[in-house]
Amino acid sequence: MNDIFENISNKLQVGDMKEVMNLCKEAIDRKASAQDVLNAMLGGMNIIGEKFKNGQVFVPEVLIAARAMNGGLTIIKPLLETEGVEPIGKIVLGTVKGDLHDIGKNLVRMMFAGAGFEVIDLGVDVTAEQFFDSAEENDVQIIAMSALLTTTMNQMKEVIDYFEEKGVREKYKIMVGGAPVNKKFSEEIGADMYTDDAATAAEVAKSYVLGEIA
Amino acid sequence: MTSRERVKMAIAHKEPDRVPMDLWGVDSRLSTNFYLMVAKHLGFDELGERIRPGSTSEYEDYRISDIVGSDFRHINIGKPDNFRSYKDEDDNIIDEWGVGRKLVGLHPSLTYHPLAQAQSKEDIEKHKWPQIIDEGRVRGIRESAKDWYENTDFAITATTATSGTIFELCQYTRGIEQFLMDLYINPDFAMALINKITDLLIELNVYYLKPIAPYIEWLEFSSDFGTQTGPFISPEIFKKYFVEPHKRLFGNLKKIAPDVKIMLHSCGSVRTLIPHFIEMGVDILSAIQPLAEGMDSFELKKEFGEQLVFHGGVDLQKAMSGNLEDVRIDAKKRLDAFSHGGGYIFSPSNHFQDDVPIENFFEMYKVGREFGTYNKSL
Repeated sequence: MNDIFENISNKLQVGDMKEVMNLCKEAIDRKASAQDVLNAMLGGMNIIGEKFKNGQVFVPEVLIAARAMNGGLTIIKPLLETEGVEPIGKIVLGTVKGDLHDIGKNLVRMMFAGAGFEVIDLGVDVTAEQFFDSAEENDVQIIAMSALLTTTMNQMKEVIDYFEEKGVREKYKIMVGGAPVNKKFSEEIGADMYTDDAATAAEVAKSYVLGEIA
Repeated sequence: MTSRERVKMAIAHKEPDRVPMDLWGVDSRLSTNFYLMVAKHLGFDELGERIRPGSTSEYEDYRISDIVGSDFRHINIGKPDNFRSYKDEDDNIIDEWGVGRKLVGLHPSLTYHPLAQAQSKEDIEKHKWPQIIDEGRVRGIRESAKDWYENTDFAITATTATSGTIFELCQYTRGIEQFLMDLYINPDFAMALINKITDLLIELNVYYLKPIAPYIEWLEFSSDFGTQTGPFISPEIFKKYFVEPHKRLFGNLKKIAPDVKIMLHSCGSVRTLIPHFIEMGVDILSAIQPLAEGMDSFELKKEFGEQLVFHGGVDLQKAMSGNLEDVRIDAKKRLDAFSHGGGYIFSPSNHFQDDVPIENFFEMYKVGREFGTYNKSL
């Protein structure tokens, strides 16, 4: 069975969605658990994430790997539900109000999903109220915000202040990222974590929900 | 030495009296907001020409060029007579490529891609592409260029005919993520789209270049292949899809105007693509964003200085939004790195936006002027 898992990971890494889906079907037919099949795919995304971080693969390769994983997920989704497989955590993600840039945010979404998270992607131009409503409705652990412009990054503070006003700031971890954002800015505005690439964002989020970091 | 002589020497890889300085080129403008701040600061009763409404940088104002000592004037392509942007039923503002945008905050953003659902080369052909030949695009540009050429000493260049080149227009029409995936999962479609757009860009740029060729030093193109940490696409994918089309595009222009240089703006980390840029026929590389991975100014000059003229280089990510000393240090650094042997035009690595203190803007050009001299008698 291990060779099939290795194949799933390898085919995912080269973005072969059709083959990933075939292999997922085969693994399930051979009585693999959905959890194990999921882990094989997450393993592949993890490798892609590292390679992206190290400049060995680029944006298209990450996109096709994520697409392959989404294909595989459609195959195993019903079984994940029957097996009661839970995501490792839930994240609300969005690009802040006034900003429509989303490629980086989408890459982060793919890495979060690749780490086993359920991601509620609110898209772009997201208000503080929308972040708040979604976080509360979906019972998430983490809010992750992206901004590409120096003129919109201040919105991140608005969101954090809104959570404070609502008295729920302590309930959530707030992560920020994006081209103009840096550690200093994130500390100034009261965010919990800043990461400067998608793969690290996923690692940090994972460490947080697994209790490895506070 | 006149500005034009200075620039001609610099782009011929010779040392003029000092390093030429640019403002209002394709990547050296003031954002709309920043321009309004500077105009107010300078006490202008009337604003400059609002030549690009709805863009990142709507105004052009050569009074500022003259204050800072820029060596350049620029020809900008006109708007077609027979097409007007319009709002569709979802409030997207549709341009002549069929691409839709909405203004959110200060910047227009992509919101509609006409070829998102396209499946075949036939779908590409069926799409309503721009009508290239349209007098509105070129009306008066020959006269403007000739007038500057005969009656001033400025170096004259032509800014981009389109916002973005092959890479961008493919993304705008197809969708950014979809096009980047097409390079792997729909290779024939990707190549067909690239070639269609290349054909249109050849037609457009030839139409634009012909009337102004005798008067200009270079024609500008803008195509952002770099992120902060590396190129968007691998050098292998770049070579597979983009080298030949750009060779075709630039080659057709060099055929009709061999003395007009090709300038490519490509911001971010593009070091690994530079050999391909040179192969494609790029003469002048602009942006040279210094804090992007692999874009160390000194290393770039050493490795590519004989084959490329550098334009830009002053850091906007940190230095220009710092204090005056930060600006001085950075401006001098770029002059040190790039100016030896000519082949350098001093300018910012991208547009000035309103995170730049006004005093820093003026200081940058002051340093460029004072420290850009080549110490020899002419």
